[in-house]
Amino acid sequence: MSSTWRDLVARARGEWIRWKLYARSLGRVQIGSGFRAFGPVEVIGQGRITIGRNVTVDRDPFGARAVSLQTQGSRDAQIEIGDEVSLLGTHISCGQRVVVQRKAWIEDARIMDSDFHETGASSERKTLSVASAVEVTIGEGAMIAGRAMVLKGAKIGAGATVRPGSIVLREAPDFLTVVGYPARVERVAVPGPPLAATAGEKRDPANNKDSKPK
Amino acid sequence: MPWRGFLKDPLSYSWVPQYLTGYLRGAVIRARYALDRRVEIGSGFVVEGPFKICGEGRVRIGHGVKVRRSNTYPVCIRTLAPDAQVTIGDGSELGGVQILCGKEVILGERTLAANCRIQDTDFANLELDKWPGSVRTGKGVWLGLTSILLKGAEVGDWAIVAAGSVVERAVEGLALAMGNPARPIRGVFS
Repeated sequence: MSSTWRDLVARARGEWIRWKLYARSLGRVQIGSGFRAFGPVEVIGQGRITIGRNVTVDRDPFGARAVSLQTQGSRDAQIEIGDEVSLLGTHISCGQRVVVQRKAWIEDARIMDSDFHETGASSERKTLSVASAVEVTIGEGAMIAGRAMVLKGAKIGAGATVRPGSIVLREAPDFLTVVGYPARVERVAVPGPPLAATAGEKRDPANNKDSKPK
Repeated sequence: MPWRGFLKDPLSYSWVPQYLTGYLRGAVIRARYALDRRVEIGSGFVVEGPFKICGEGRVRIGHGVKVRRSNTYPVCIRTLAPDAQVTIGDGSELGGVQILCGKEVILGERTLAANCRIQDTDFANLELDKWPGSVRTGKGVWLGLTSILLKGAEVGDWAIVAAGSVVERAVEGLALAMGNPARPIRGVFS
């Protein structure tokens, strides 16, 4: 009952945010129908933002961060978010193009498609630059956990999982799990219980059929 | 009105009233959870910043735990299942710690932790992570700034986890672990 009530409130808030952003940005932020907002959405910049249908937006699991969609540099920057995506306190900074395909689940990760500054003399570093921007793509049904970073040129495959705290620089293959800095494919690729759990079962003499009582 | 300015400007606090309000807030929060069976809080509880517990799992906080203030994150303990259990040992000091628990998180006595995240599931939704593991740390562990403990992390007594590292395996006692994923650094304390 309470969840239905929360859902109704989120839908109403989503509808309000949808029209407010559309009007304020003069049509550059377009959000599809069925948008549910359990928390606020911060939109910064002059770029184009397209959000599909039935997207859910929330704060991160600890209520600390809100979703922030930032387009930097010029009006050509573009964020595309597909249908049924869930964003939980996600930060997306975009200099060129960030694509999130449908059914992705992104927790409080950061997604940046540019370094936003040039290397060189300090005067050059200070100004914003999106010259180094490379498109970032997040595949269908991908899951990105909290405190992860997806940096420029990264490509996350369909159904891939990015574990908490990992930093993705290049590519996460389809349906595999990546972890670490730089993010590499985790050895346990087959879906199943984690290695530690399996090892514990084997060590348990009651479960082990190979060991014979003496 | 001088009183309003006193409340607004944090620099005008001397450490003495802040110290006292920490004890006061801790006592208030402890009283609030006194009738709640899921949450047990020990004596001498100090809360100096934002602190919240959410979810329906069990939370046990030992005696003399201090919740410090962080400028980055509020301290938050979130359980995702009714049988999830979070235990925080006696005399721990937590600042900006975020705990996400689907099954079991145990922090030992006298843990020092700053801005770190401890989670035994990868995602905040147990439907997305079918096998929540467990996180255990021993006595006197120092978890550095912005470090992350993932499921399967077991940190031994008096070990140090360096700032920004991600632990997903066992770390021996009296060792320094750093990196992402974290590896032990040898010969530091020997």
